[in-house]
Amino acid sequence: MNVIQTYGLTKYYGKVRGVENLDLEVKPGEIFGFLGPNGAGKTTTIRLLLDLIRPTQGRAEIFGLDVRTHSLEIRQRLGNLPGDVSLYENLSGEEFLALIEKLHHNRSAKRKDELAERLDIDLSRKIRTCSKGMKQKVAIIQALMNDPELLMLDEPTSGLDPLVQREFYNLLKEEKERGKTVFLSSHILPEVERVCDRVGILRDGLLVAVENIDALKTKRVRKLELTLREEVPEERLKIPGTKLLYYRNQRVELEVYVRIGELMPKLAELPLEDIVFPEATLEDTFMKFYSEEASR
Amino acid sequence: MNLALFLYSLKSSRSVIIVWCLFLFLYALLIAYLFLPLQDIADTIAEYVDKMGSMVEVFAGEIGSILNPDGSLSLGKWMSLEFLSLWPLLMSIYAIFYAGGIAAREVERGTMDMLLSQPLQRQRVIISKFLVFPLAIVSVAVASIVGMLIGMAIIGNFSDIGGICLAFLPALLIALAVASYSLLFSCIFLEPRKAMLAAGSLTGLFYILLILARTVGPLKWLGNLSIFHYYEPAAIASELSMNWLGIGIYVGIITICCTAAIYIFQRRDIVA
Repeated sequence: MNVIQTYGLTKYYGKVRGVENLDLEVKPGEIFGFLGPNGAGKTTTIRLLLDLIRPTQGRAEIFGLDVRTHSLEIRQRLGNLPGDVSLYENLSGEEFLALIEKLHHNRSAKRKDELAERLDIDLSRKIRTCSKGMKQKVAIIQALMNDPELLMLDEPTSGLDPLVQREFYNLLKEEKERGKTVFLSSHILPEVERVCDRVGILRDGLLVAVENIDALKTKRVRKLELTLREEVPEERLKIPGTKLLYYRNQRVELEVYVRIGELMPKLAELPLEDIVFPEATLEDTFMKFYSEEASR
Repeated sequence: MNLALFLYSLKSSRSVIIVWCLFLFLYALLIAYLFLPLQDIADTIAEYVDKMGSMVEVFAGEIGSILNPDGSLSLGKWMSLEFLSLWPLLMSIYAIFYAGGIAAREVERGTMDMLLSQPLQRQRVIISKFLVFPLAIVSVAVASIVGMLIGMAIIGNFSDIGGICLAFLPALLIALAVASYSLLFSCIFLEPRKAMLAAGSLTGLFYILLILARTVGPLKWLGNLSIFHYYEPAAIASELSMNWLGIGIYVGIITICCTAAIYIFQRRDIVA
């Protein structure tokens, strides 16, 4: 049984499309990345799953339970980190977490102190005096402290410094090792690449692809940047296994589809000043994916 | 109701409740104390009332109503005129600001998302936060009564005390009725400003209807449409005469508006 399953889930805000015909499956114990630019419908999907908004069409299930009719039971088993974190400013972190603990019927929040230590936060401070990053840490603790079976995280690392981000990724990996499922919405590709097992790509409210992250990595597109000592005819830059993207002022950009070694003989014939072959990013793959989808 | 959320809401409203309690305690004390010098000029007041037209009475207060038939001053009627008649109006202002923001302010601030992603039913959020209001106005009523009692003790006159205390019952119900329709607007609009504007406008309309009914003879029937029409503190304070129709109307408004508010909030999208 899938932890999250949606059937043709559709939400329109008047005439504006939130998401449409979303068929999503999130398996137990996986970290599922939900990727898309701002306004693609990621938060709408999470809000539908949390029963904060009601679908125009379709339905969704979490733990095999309908999110509308069994919302309370579902929320007892999940931890949510909203995208736009808002906490009670007049409380301290400690008081806020105590309130959340009571809302969970005093279910043991034994991880609270451990999480506070790992995320390096002083919970005695009033929330109104906390920075955005500190508020985010409090929100992360409230999502994790009740040991939920499913974590729903909307842009979780927003406002966190790199060190805390790393600790947070470690926490996610540990949750996965403990058999927990994570649904992570993000537009930060390296983040998704780093922690997710599978990724769903959302565009204008439509789920355009669901890919295994390893498979997506193999589809990576690498770019090769060359600086020439002198101008050469463009014909000489048409190298098999590559596509010429840019050539001006002795600067060349090639999209590479083969191993770099296969290109070396041809490259050696060029009056090279410099070669840059940056690590391929998921972002390039993602952008290519988007532009291809858009052109269809 | 969720006790944790109720206690949190109570804690958040603590300072406002204390300020209201203190203000109305002092105001009640002052009004009760002012009865002492007023007794010395009872004759002048009677003469003044005779010369005033009924129109002026409406706006300046029913000055004549503080006199007993024998021309002496009635403490109960004085307190009704200068304090009890204003009390529900002041509490209505508090009701509009508090209840108008119950759902709407949480949604606007984004804290509603956090609350509703916990295992907490939507109606419990509304009920837990709303129940702070009755507790708050009962506290303010108690503070007001204590202020009056101290004032009465100073002037040494405890007449009509039973009636004066009884007059707080419909006053509390008016405030609750205003709070319940403010809550309804809060759940409908999910925007504090809109909800408060709607609730404030409706309350203002009720007050205008009352004034029109009292000043324009042919429009007297309009008074029946105002919730303030059924509140007669002088009659309660001096004659222990309760308007049960009014009580029924207030209870009806509270029941209908609270039920409708919960029904709407339960079924709607939570979108700021």
